[in-house]
Amino acid sequence: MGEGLIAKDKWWEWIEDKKDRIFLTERAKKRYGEWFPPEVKMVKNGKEVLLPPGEEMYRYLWTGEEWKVEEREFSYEPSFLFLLPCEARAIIEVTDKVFLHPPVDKNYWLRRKSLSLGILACLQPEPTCFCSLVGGGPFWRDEEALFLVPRKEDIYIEGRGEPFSFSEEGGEKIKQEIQTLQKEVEKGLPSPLPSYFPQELYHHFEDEEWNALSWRCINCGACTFLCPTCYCFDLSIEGRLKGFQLRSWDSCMFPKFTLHASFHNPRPTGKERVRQRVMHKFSYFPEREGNFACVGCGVCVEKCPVNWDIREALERMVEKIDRLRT
Amino acid sequence: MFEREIRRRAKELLEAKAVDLVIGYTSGSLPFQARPILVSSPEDTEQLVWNHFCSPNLARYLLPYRESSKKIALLAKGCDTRAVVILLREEQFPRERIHIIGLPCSGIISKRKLEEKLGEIKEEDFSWEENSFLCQGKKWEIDSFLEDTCARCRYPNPPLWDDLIGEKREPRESSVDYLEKISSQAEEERWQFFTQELSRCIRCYACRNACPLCYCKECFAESDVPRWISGVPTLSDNLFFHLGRSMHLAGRCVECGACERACPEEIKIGLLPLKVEEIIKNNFSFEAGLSLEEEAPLLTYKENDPGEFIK
Amino acid sequence: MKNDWEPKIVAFLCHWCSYAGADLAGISRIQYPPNIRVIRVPCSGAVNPLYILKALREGADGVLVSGCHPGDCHYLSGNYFARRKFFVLHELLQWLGIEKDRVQFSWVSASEGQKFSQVVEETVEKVKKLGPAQKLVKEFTFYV
Repeated sequence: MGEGLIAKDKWWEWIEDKKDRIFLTERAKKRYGEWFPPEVKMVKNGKEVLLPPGEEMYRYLWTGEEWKVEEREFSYEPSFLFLLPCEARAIIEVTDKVFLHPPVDKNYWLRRKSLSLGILACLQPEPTCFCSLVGGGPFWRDEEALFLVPRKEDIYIEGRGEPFSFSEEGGEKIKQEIQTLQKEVEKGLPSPLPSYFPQELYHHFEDEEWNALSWRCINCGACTFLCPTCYCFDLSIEGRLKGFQLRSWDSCMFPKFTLHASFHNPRPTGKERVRQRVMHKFSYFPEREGNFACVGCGVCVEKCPVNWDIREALERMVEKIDRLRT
Repeated sequence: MFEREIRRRAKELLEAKAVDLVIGYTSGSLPFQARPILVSSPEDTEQLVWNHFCSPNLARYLLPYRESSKKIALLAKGCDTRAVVILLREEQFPRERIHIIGLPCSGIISKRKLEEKLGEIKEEDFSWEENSFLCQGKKWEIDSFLEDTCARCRYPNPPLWDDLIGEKREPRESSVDYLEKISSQAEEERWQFFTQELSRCIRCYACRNACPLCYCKECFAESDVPRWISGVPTLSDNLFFHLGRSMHLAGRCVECGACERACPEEIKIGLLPLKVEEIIKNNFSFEAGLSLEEEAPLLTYKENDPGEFIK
Repeated sequence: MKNDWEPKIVAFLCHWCSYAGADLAGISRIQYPPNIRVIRVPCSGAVNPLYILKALREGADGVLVSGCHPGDCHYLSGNYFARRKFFVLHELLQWLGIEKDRVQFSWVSASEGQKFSQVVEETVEKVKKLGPAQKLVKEFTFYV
């Protein structure tokens, strides 16, 4: 549809019209709250909208002679989700790849196709942010989503599908301004991990560095539940002769996550679980899908009760890998 | 404030092989944060710190060593030492294996309260004292910046120790007790407060895992047989979990507040175990973790225990 | 009209005294309200506070726990521990905002059939006044 600048009042016209169908993430609201009406629904991150913490999959009933199973059908209003580039990357590059590649998860697909994304450029990375380390960036965008850069009196929008009345079309001058802004914001952000990292990390599976790295972790589930890319879930049946199947969030940090029916647990202690989390995000997933399963949003670093910092873990492993390569 | 002495003592203990490991605090990767550290070699003792941000309860880090034979020195604040006393009383460790380096504590400062009152803060602007700090030329008392559980602390001094580093101090007089504040509200208001707070709980179990006294092999919250609650953080399940956890901590909670500081959603999760401890203190004259000879209140009884509520 | 709502009350009765007392009430043909669902436990001290919370979670409008009189416990001291434990639980629930009469306790001995029926009547009456339980009941549908 094009790109260009929209004056503030035109933006408000456009947004007022849709305010009942808009979700805004907490971090986006903190920075750009003044650009949105107060009635928009705030969510923690995209995961809350697309993969809610609890969901009914089907209901069942024993009629006395047979089991009747009724799959739950849901339908969703088309809505907008405004979020930061890291959170958008978590959806487009991670959870979409997991749930929309065959076999397609029906519930996720129904929610996803009715959701349009609006990526708000990140103009003030926090001290805990490291999106550029893992292949993203504060101005990361996707052609399927809107891209917005709120400025003082207007908003720069790139997008398709939405009719916008641009006050100024996206000519060369504006593009230059945006690019200059991007370069300024990106100054000081860490440089990306080396491309050989996923493969090399895999060879360090038995490294004794994991003992030191995992000691401090208390194996709660805070990082996994707050992470916009963590998608593991548990299926359970509630009820006996009448009930439903429940899909709920699960965490690889919980001791029962890999407990087998034989009571053997391949990840018996915190060390195996911490190692698994790092390996999954930085080795197994990238080897299969081509990008890290971490978007560098830094929420886990901010919220960890014992200040376990994934950036430090990565730094140490990169150091070790580089030392052995030379 | 006493960092040099702490490092010296830890180094002495490691060099003399009196202990195999020292568990203490070191500076975190973010400003205004300290994190737990395991020191096994004398040179690494230089990394130990002791300041107002030493928030986790280190007694929790003793739990993985219950089966080993290692001797461990633990840097423990007043409340942390009380937790160690309970662990010793519950026979989780023989007394000789734990070397307690007791640290009288003037309280943990809440980073959030600092930011609320002082706006954008940088570590370089601060210089810290025991009970006050200087920020950009102005002196502040730490009272109004303390974490809620620290503001009401009655036992800043370790009740049991092998080394005591620092000066013993009196409990604070003036600060607000947030439990009293909640108790003085009307019942319906209090219910509204709890439903609001506990609806935000995501059941990550950070509170339970940060607690030194929650060490069941299988927590009731994760039990399948019997299955008490579902995996979804609905309000009823959250209430069940927190009420159940408070009951399991009855007579054992040392009111350290580690659970509240661990919560990523900043829920006042400590209020329920604190209320249980208040009930036990007022009716059975018992406070947990003060002496090795104490008897657990729910494992004893008196003939004249309160019983009017029973028909 | 709410008048035809009957509360469902889960009653944990200790095998040696209260359950026998309830049995005696039945044998003596003493009438008492049919709202209670009895669960026999070996001793009132064996009642885990989690059972009470679970009953409330599953939709019970009230819970009754009944044991032997102090001094008469078949296991000598189980009911003493129960007294302490339930005091703490009851105070905690009240403080939180759960109505005082949702969870009730009694001592009923094996020969007190009459008392048992009175206890049940009292319990049902008090719970009826409070209306259906809403505060700790589990929700059935989730976020979608």
